[in-house]
Amino acid sequence: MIFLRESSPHMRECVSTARIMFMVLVGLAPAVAVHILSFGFGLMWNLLICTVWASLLEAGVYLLRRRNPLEGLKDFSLQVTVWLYCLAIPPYLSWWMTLLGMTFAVLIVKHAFGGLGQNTFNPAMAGFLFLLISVPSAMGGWVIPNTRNMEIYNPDYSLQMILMDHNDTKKQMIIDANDRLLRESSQIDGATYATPLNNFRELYNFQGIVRYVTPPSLEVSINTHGTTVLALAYIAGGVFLILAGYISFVQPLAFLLSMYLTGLVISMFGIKYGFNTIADWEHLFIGSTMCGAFFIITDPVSSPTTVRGKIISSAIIGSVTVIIRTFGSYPDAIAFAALLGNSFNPLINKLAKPRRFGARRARA
Amino acid sequence: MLKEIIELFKQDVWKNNTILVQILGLCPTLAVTTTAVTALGLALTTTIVLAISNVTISLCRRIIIPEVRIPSYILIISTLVAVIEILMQTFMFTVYESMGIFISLIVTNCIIISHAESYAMKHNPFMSLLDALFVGLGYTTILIIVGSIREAIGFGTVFHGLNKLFGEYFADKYLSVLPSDKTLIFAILPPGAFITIGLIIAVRNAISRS
Repeated sequence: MIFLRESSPHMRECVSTARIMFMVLVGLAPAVAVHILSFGFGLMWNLLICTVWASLLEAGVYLLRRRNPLEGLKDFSLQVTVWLYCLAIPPYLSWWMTLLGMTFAVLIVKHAFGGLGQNTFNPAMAGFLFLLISVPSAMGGWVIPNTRNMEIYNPDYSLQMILMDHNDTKKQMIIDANDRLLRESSQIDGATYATPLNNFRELYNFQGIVRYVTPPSLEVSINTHGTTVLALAYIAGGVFLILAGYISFVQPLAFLLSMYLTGLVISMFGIKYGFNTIADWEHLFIGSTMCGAFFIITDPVSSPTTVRGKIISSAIIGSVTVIIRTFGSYPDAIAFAALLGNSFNPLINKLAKPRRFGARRARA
Repeated sequence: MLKEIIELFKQDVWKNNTILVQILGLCPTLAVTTTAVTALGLALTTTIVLAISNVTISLCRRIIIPEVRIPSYILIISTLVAVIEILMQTFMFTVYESMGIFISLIVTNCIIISHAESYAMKHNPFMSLLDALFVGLGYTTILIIVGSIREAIGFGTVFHGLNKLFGEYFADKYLSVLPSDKTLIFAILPPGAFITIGLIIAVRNAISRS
């Protein structure tokens, strides 16, 4: 009889990385569908070119590290990065910018830090931010969410737009299409994904208008924003992941709660001193809040390991998001806040260490 | 003697390159390398300060009391920097303006103080001068490389504005690398500096390992 000796952990979860990542993709599927429904087929092409390009890069890195180039493609982690990244960027961004951001995400953010499981920062968000601060003008080219975009930006036209280099003509084309949609549809408010946040700020900065004196009700906020459906799709996917046990509920909860509370405090003072531009409720349903809550801050690699750490980190990210949204100069802040939160992780992991069983509470 | 000088050269330029190996003096390196010309300007100024401070400290090495040697270095270096700053203000005002506060900040550059402590205090003025020049060479080379890469990606040009340093003859002597609508602002922001330097360090490590 052979006795095997091995060090802990002795019990292993039978859930593999590939399975977790695949489930995250399933959770993202509704959001992808809604994204295509409301913005047209740009996302489809972006997913395609990014998948091909990122797989090539990944295989290349594995070859350089003298490992089997197909190894990195087996789990779906790269695919999750690609999907989150493509959902974050404007759907009709020029192809070379999209691929450049992807290159940055895979080569520098993921593999320069040691590859899967080692990256300090969330690759998708870092790639997105790389583009946001490199080519800010092109990153503002969002189309208005509207189901008619499916006809306007049909697969053919989408591909044309993506292959077209970013210039004034292209910018004008998007603006014209948006205007036409606004005029033709009876809906009054065509506020878009990342730009409503921008609009509020411009109103405030250039005309000194504080949009709300009192926060509107939850209902009004939902009805006036076209991307609420997208937020709902993220919620649906997120709830599925929580119920299936792939992500814990503490992170989204701590994140949203901290976001709401910070928004509440800021609007309390904002009304008094005149810097409030977004109401507390709105923070939760605007921009990429829900995507952040369920899919970005829950990334198992770039979030702390313990439950206590997760709560601290999520709360930091939530309140930083609101602070940057109110006082910063970029439209949305989830990505900035998420990266800032990620950089706290080593510290949080150290501070939020669980007490060993039987050990005494540390005295300060 | 010659062998010693060659060894010193190898040490200062490659084996113990201040930026790539010792990672010293990063603050000015990150801040002024947005274009190749400001990088060159600061590198040359730093080299001049380093050369004079090394020689001065080497000359004074027998009278500096060991217990208060650090304040003595600071005193010598800050005097030098103040003098050079005033000189630049007088004779090269455009350069002075483009480098701003970083000329005064040369005082706190660890490269200068570390070479005062580790080399000038223990060697004669001639060798200290050579040490300063070799270190300056290594420093200048890396700063120009970083500056050129960042300028090429961030502004699409290399060595734009050379006339500020060397007179009007150089006014249009620069390379255009990228059209202006293909540039990435990322490269001229602080993270661009960190990543560029990180990649250059990686290349150096790869070369020295092979």
